[in-house]
Amino acid sequence: MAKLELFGAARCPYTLEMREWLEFGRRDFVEYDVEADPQARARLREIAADVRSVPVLVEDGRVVEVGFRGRGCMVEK
Amino acid sequence: MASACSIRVRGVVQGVGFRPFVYRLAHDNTLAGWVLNGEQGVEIFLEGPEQSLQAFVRDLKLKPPPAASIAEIEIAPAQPQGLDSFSIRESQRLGRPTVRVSPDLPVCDDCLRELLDPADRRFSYPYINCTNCGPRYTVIEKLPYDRPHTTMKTWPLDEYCSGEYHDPVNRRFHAQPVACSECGPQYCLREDRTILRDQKQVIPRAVQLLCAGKILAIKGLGGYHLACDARNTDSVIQLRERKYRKEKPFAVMVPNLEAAREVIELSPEAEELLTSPARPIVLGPAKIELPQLAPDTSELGVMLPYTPLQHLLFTGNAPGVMVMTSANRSSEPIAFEDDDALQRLSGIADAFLIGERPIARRVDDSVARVGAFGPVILRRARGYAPSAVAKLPSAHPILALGADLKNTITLVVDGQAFASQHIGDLEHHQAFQAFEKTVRDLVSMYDVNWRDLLVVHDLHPQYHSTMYASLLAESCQSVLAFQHHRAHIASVLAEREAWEKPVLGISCDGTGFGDDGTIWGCEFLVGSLKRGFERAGHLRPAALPGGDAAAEYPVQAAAGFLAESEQLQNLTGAPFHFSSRYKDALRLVHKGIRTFTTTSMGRLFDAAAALLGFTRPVSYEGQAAIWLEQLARSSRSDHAYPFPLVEDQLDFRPLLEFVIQDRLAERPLQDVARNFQRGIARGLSAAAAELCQRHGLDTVVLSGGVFQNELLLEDMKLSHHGTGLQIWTNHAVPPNDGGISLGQAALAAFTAIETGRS
Repeated sequence: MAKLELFGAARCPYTLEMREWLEFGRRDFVEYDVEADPQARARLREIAADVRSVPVLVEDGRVVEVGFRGRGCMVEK
Repeated sequence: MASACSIRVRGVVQGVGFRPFVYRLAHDNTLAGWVLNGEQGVEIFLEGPEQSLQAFVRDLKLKPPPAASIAEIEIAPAQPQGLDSFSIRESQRLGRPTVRVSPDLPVCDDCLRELLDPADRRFSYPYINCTNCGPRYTVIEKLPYDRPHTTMKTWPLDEYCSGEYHDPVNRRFHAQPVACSECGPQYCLREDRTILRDQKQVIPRAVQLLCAGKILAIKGLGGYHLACDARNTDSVIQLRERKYRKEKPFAVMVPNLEAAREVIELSPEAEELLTSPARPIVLGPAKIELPQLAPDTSELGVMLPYTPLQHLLFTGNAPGVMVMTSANRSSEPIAFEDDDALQRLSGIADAFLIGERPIARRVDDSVARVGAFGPVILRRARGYAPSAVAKLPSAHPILALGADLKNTITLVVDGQAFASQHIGDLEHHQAFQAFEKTVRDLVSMYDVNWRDLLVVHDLHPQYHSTMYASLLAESCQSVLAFQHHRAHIASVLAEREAWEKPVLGISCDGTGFGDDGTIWGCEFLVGSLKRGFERAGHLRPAALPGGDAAAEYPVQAAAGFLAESEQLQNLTGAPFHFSSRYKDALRLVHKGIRTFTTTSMGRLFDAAAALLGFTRPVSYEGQAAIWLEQLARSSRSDHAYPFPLVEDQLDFRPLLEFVIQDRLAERPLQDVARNFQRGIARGLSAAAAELCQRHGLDTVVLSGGVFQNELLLEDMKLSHHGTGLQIWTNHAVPPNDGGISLGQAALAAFTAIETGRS
């Protein structure tokens, strides 16, 4: 099964919306807070160097969605 | 027994003769009290008989000055203070100004009469104005609107002007930019190194040069124009060469409405637009043949004179149809500072007609037309900016930075969305500087605290506006990103204040960063401003060799769209004659090198245009699509090529296969173009009907640059007839990327961001 990762931030309302949407769809995923977790931030930078906003949904190491339904919050790089 | 009340009037009420109007009204009704310009609007205190108070309020609502636009009147009962006269008090400065800055106004009939009356003190004075007309946004440096806060601050009033300025019943009472030839700024004419300053000779000499086929740089309200005789083909060709503007249309100015009627076809609605206070360039079908003006289209852009100087040129017998184009080299922002203009335009203009009054900010001419769904603004600038375009229910201020092309910004303060003038393409350094200045300008004009701001940008990670947003991140409340095509749809809903209405949005343009990082451009979006929008369908994805660079070469776009076609034709031979760029692009696609995925409607139009013969590179954005639309207009064919919705994707393959087949069968080009256009319209309409039914929707919103294609809109209007669906389009902001900032602001107004910085 595909490995799903959600990179988000605690203060970002769209991260919350994406999490609820994934949970509603009973998808298995791992969530990281890129503002609280420098390692996660570094990994997101590796996957998508120029992405500045969260949430970012990553499937098997590939970005599938930036923002939730086109809405996101900028995070410090 | 005397009654009393306090009245606050909000809206465009400063700099439009509102206080003298209130003064006269109070006088007529024998009321005592005072009026002043506050930062929340105009404040009035009145006392007198109850009946007179009522009469006053009635007339306040019914007969405001022509340039005023009242948003709201608040009336509260008050204690009479025993005043015995009515007075106009000094401006107040307290909290944050919520009063609106007026856009620039065209010279009024009274001033025009004086301008042309040899017995008048301001006869032939090119800076004549009064409280009903003249410059506003282009002279205001800060609020409240008072002469020391304008670019007229360095010209003290002489006795005559001062008398008028202080006389409450005079038309020039507190007219901040008022001046006359004795005390005010002047125009001079500069040819090579000689400068003509004799006011009696300046205009005649300028006219003489124009009539002799010369190109003049003329300082206007919001920047310099380049002007020449539109009927003089050599002059127009010269101007194109010197400006490096190969094919993009030039607008013309004509002296009056009668003359405009001879140049383009004008419906009553179009005449209303042309003569409206904004005095935009109005596009319409050309009635005269001036092929050098607009090589790709049969439309011309026409405007009427709006400054006294322009009237003086025409009454001085300047050419009756004059090219009036923004003074710049191709795609740079318009020049508005004298030294810069002299330097940048030195190789372009033969002479300079320079006015002394500085321009506070660069504001281009606006462009509008009356389309299938009513008036539409294609470039929103002079005459419109910076007025409010919508109300948004936001408690905190929002700064929306727009898109990188055709950039505008929108500032939301106290629930009002103020959209800036057209700024330009941010990849040009000067446009980017203008962008930064406009941001600072609006934020300081409305006294917004940076710390309170929600800053909004496009989801595109490489936009210059995104980089700028990241610089602001430290000093503002929060930075949000919204997806391009959702912002287009949101702009229409914001204009209509339809905050909760669920709709099907169809967003079609050339390019925008999608949720999945691919290049989007034909998107069906279901949702509302409040709940956000979900992608419910789109164009079948195609390859885009070279990414956004393909926008310049229609054959390159064609390669991407045709690469997966089963029967790939050799298009380098007759009748297609594609250049080798096509084969190179195909090779890129097949090897997957520098190839992106796109659902761009703009590129689909480019691909079709290439198949119809537009195989050269475009010289301005949207050129190939405009060419195709014009070609289609000359056909009477009533067929439509198939463009079916298959699993929520509009499949372009049959559409393009028919184009190729009919080209090979040597059907007339215009018929093929027509069938393609109608195919697009029917495909979009049928898809809209299906998706609306599935999602239980009754309203379709159209936005994005592709919907500047009038023929497409006409076809869609027809296709939708009888479906019971209503169609909404943009009216207050452009459907192109100039409308993005309003859409972003609207989406931000509904965000659940916690305010109060931690």
